[in-house]
Amino acid sequence: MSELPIRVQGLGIATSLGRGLSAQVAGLRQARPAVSTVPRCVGPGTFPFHAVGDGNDGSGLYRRIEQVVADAIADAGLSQAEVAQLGIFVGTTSLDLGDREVEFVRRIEGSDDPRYIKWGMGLIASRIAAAFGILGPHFTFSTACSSSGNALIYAARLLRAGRLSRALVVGTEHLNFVSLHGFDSMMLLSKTVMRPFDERRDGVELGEGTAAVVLGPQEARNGNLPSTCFMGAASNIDPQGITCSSPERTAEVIVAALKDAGASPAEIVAVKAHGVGTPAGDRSEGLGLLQVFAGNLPPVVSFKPSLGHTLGACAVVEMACLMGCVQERLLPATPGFEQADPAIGCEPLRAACDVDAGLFLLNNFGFGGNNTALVFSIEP
Amino acid sequence: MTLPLRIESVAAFLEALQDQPPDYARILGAVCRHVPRRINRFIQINLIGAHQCVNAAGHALAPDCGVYLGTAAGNSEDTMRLMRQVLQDRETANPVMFINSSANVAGYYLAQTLNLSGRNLAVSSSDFSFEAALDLACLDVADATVSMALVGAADQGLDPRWTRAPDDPGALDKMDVSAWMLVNPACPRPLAVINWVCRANTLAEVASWAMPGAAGDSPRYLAVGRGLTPEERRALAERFSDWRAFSYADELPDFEVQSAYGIVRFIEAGKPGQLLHIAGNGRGACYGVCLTVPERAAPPAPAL
Repeated sequence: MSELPIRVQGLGIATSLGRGLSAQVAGLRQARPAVSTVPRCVGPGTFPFHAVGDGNDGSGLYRRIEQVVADAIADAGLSQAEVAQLGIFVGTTSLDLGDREVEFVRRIEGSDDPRYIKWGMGLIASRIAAAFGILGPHFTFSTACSSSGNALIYAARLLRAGRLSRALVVGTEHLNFVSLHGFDSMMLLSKTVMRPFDERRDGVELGEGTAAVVLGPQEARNGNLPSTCFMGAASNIDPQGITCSSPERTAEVIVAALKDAGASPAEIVAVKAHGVGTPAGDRSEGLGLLQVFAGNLPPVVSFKPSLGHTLGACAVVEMACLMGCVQERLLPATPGFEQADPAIGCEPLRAACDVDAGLFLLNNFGFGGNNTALVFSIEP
Repeated sequence: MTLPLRIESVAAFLEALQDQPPDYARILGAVCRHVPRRINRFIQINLIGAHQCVNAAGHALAPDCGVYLGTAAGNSEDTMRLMRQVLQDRETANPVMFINSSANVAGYYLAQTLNLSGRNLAVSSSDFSFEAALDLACLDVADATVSMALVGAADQGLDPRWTRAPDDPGALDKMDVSAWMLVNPACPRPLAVINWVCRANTLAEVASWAMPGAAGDSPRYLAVGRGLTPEERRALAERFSDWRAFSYADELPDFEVQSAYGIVRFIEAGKPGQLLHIAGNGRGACYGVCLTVPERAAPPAPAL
């Protein structure tokens, strides 16, 4: 691990729980999911969905992203000269598909030719750069639900290599019907409620959200942020698990992240689990955690029942939420969890508890067998 | 970073799309022992190019070999099909098509067919997607985060039935391109070595990295990639007037991942010398890749 500290200097976030860090903590503290519904495009009925509720539909996703990035930059107190030097690291899996869907529907309902749709994986980062006058390099990572985990990892790597003075890392995901119907067709959506690690778990609820953090070597100028330092991370792939990694690969990535952070399992204060609520996903993560921590598993939390699964954004979104919780010395309960699954043996918190400063493990696992584990030091 | 880094093998795959879709299953079957089932065209072109590259190296890859796929558009065709399926035809989304629509699934199948379990990225940087992938790979290889790296770029030609308006022939997009290189610091006889990869906000800054005389007596070649303005092209021509030109524009006139293709083609040509490849984004930013193809010693005479 390099000696250069990588600290969170500013933060912006908008999820179904609201905009800003305090809204996230309030929602997580209540453990009452802000789930709404959206109509199906195919067949009758609705999907449960954790919508941001800021009035921006698919066509407004760029406006939402710019609001959150503006919050992060203001929170970090950066001058325009400092903003111009930022590198941009975006993690997203559906990119700006919500925007494209709105355009597609407009065209099939109107007289325009619906075939012409411009694509580009780097468009979100390019739009952020143009909107804020950022001249640094930009990278867009699309590795499914680990996307923004990889964005964090490579932002930290380029900072430690001295290639950047600061980095803007954005995780973003927005309502789109291809993802909703895709998850539905794969029978991964919950028909009841999300219950990570519960014996009765039956799937995931999707959500949308955007979070942005400014990373750099200096302490945050905003005294209201908890002191948060990137300590280490790892990324790997399970080539035999296109929808879900094995417990062994899950354990491997966690062990590698701890090693990169120079930390032992005993030093981890709490685990922010991926906790996706699918039978196979939670089994792999739970068994992987037990392989690493044996009988000394620290408290485990999953934020997804409250936020929905924000897919490629979840690493940054949930890291921000964890920062907010630790700032208030809170480890929230995992809503929906009631009955432990004896086949796993990993139980998230049933009730909120206090937490102090320390090292936190953050897991993110995605389709395509793509896994990241991150270790952050957070002090209230 | 600790450069230079050795390139052990390369391969470039380019297919012009005709009325009938190419028989990629057959091409893939010739280069890959266990062809995955139910994969789409984007995954196929990645597997073809990458397996050709690995086959050229002639040995199995280390399990921790990283995969770094740069792509400007990812699997856009299946995403478009899904959008039409769900929003226009009101049909259930095809689950295989859905999971294959993620750009990183090509890397998943590469890992599966090559027995890899290390880092595996699908990354985009618009006009600089290959350069971005190469940049991150060099970072990981240089500090031994991975022992070797399979770095490539791929984008698929877009079927005009799905994606092009009638008045936009999109001729240049009717190609599937996949170009790959294996970066292996332990390679004893590299085809080329990467001297540096550099992104800057001005052409002058990137050009300043090309130190006069750094290549010794070897010829020096300049390749001008896409996205440079006419003024930038003129400036390059003046700054590097004594360098030879390496052009691949006839093969691949304008395509997001053309940098990967051009660099691989230069290495394949085997001309000893230094290549400076510069691409731009039309708004001032440039990415430069500098590499050297070494003089190759004559192969030993066969024993009598």
